[in-house]
Amino acid sequence: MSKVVENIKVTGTGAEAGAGTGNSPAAASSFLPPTIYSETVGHVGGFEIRNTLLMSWISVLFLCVVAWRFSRNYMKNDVPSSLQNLVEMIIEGLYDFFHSVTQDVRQTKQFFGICATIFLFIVVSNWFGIFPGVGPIGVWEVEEGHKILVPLLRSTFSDVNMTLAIAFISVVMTQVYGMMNLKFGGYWGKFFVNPLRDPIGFAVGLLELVSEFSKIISFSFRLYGNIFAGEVLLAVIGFLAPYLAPFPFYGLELFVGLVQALVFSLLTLVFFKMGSTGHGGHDEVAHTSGQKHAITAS
Amino acid sequence: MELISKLGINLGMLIAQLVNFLLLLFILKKYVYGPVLEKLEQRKNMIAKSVSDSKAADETLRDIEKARSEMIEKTKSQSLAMIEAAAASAEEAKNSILESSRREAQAIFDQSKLQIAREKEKMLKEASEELGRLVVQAAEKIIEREFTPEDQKRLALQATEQFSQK
Repeated sequence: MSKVVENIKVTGTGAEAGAGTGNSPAAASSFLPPTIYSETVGHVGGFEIRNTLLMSWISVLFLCVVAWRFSRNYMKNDVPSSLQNLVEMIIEGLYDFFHSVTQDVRQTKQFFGICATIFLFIVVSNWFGIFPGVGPIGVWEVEEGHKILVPLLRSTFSDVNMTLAIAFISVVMTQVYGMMNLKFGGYWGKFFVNPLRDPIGFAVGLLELVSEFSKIISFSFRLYGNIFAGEVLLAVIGFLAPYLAPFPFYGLELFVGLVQALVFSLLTLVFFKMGSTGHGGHDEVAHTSGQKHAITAS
Repeated sequence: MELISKLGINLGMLIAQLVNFLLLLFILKKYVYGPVLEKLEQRKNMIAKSVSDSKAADETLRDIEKARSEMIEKTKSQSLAMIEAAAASAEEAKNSILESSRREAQAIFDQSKLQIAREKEKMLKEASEELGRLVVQAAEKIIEREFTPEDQKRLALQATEQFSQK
């Protein structure tokens, strides 16, 4: 532990840290982009702790503290506090927004927990990822003969493990809600059609089944790509012009963080809705897929 | 496999992130979503109740207003009827008082008239008696003799008759 503390260095800007430059004279003249994988910053027993996981814990802790502060006396007080007002506004806004997609109170209530948590977790993690100190503070390590700075904290979703986990939950829960709303046979009947009765339907069903699970990849790489690209962008701009120039790009990253959270949660909701709609609800499916395409296009 | 290794995909990290997410979902559901949605539902019900209460209050107010104007109208008509009855009764009382006064005055007048007639008759009787007596005395003095009671009676009677005729 003391070795780690000894090795902790703080660089001038996040961009320099991302580039692995900073106080290292050897690296000062070269630009090293952020790595596409997260870095291990320590071990607990046999379990490795990576910088993105640390950041994820901080985001979860922050949301839990807000939830705890919010819930104190909330049901007793008729006049909410400022924090309670803010949280209420966010939750009500999300609820109304999700309801405008599902158009069904029961389904909105059923899907709300996961979709809202996905949104809040992603937006908070993305915004925390561009905080000062996330990136510049790290440990110098030698890798393949080069001295590089391993950041202690890194944006959670710049690690494909993190996006994969959320995408996995989204796709698995789509199947769960589908089976809950259409019953087991009704749901899987959409994918497994008798080839003797309807050969085309059989082929389409298999394709749909494949596309159902390929969503994990599209979901996770969309978010990962956007956030990782944001990191690279900030690193490049910070390397080229460390002062003032990155400022508008921080604004852009705030916006991208919000939009990606919205896209992930809304796509999850649309998939939940589509998964819970049987063959009889063609109009409804068409409607929701229209929304999905609109979101994807945006 | 090379891609998985290059991207640093690790089952432990995946599971850790799944646990993170599920923990966060549990806490937010328990402490935020549940209470907020419950409170919003309560508020919605309260607003709906307030609106229906306000409508009921409006209707009650309208009923009270209607009852009040009806009562005012009724009271007005009742008071008018009472005034008319009082006026009629006063008129009747006035007429009755006038009639009774008139009757009383008539009675007093008749009584006075009767008494005057009686007085007059009495006076005339006394005057005729006095006249008879004076006529007798004058005749006695003229003829210088005394009349008998029969003469006196006859003379007095004649004088009275003549006086009455005049």
